[in-house]
Amino acid sequence: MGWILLSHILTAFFVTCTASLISIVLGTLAAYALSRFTFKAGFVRNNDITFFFISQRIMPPIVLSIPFFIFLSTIGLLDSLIGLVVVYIVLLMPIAVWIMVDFFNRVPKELDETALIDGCNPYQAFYKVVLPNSIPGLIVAGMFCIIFGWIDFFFAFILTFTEVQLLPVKVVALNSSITPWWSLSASALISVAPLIIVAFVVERYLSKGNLSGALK
Amino acid sequence: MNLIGENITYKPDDQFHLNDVSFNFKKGNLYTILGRTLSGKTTFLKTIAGLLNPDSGNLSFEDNDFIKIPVWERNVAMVYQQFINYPHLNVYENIIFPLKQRKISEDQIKKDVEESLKTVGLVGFENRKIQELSGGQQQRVALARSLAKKAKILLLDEPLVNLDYKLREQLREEFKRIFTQGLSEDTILIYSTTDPQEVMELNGEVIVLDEGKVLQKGPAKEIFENPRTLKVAEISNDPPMNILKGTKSSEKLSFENILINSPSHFKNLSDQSYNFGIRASEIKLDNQGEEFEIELAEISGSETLLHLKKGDSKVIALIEEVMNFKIHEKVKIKFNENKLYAFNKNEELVSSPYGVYNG
Repeated sequence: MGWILLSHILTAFFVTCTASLISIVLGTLAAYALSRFTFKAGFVRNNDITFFFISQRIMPPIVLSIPFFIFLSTIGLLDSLIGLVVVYIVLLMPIAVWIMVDFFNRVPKELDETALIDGCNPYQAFYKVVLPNSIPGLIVAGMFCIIFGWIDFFFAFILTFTEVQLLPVKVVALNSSITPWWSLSASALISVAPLIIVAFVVERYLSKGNLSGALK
Repeated sequence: MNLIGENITYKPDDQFHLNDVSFNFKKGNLYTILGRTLSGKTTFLKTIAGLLNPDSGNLSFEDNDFIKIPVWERNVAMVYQQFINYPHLNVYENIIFPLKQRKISEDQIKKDVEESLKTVGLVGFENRKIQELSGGQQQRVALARSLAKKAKILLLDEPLVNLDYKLREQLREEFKRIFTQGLSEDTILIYSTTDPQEVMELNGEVIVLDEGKVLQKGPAKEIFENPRTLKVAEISNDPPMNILKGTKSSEKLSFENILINSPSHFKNLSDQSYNFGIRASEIKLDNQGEEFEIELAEISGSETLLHLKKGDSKVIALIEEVMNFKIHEKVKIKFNENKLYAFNKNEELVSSPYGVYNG
């Protein structure tokens, strides 16, 4: 019993972290572009693109479930780790983009400009100056991604069967005709514990997030 | 070998930010750009830095087409009116940032940083965090960073605006010292400000900018003595020059039922209506003078600013002592006619106490 639960924990851990990491990396780049450069395509402007990202989360998840199911079964990724990671990226990246756009908008544009004047090309300005000053934002975005990824039951339930089973699904599955309350309580506690640890660790950085030295 | 701009125009929306601006900046000189807020000063500096590309016009430096060179290869330095430093680095790391970017040897970096820290008076603060410094110190770090670069073009965009009064006075004096000692012969220094007093103190070549257009160019003294138009006279004086509509008839000037003698430098003016200009400091309290009503009296430091009213005309007088006045009190003032300016209907200067300006 214990070893089976451990494999579920590791699977959930892998899926959540991989999807969160990819979402943060891509989302941060997208957010920086949306915050600093002007895009024009027909009537589409920066705000519309940002809204497009957020709009992915407007629909209730149930609406997405059937398209996702058909999509994953077509490309043969149903009940696989990769398939689940792909779905989670779709769900998590809007959160990362949304948080980071707002964060970058609050980083003074003059900071990038100063970096450019001081001899950085736009890429160096991003990773040498803007990124080190965006750590609080990155932590918030990362925390949200991990939480939303970890607690997801719905997609894990629908898109996986036997090969891959995430922790929340397993916890619920324990609730059968004769409920083993001891196992259920223990596994429920284990499934909540990471979030509590994350919250405690991250809380310190959240309050520290300031850019007061950049602009007074 | 100079920094030359030709007919630079920048119009991102329906308003001109720069309108047909041309200039020729020589090395080793100080240039000040004087203009009110939103007059295009920052746009001007950003264009030179390369952060903005003008819609039309040429910009060349040392015979290179500057517009084709990206910002990060231009080797310019800029200090903003907000104190922009890298908050994740300490003072020392802030100053070496641009030097490391240009791959200068360690020994040279050490020497340059020490020198620039000494110039701005921040020795001993190397390991402080930026957030631990006061506003004035933060601006000094920004200045040290741009000095250490030894850039050929140094741009300062209203560097004193966000500081408190005392610090501003102090830094202004230090700026003057730094500009006269700390700069090498082949640096072009461009300083923008809204404050006429700063322009006069720095005493460089002045460019008066308004709505993106260059109104007048010349040495600070020339701008002060002979503002070419009424607008320049308003921009280059603080408080702005008083403008009174009036007429000249033979030996008398009249405005708002006031009759005063025409000064000798108005001799050659024909008899017609003019806009007369007079500085606030040339209006004195005098029992023989004209009666005005006080609208507002401000005491600043050792001076009193009087906002006066008579009929439709309003004037501001600067009294060089601290006096207490009541609002609506009547006072008698006298205009120093020997310091009167005359502008014609097109708002151009036709006569000034320092000799007529011709073209």
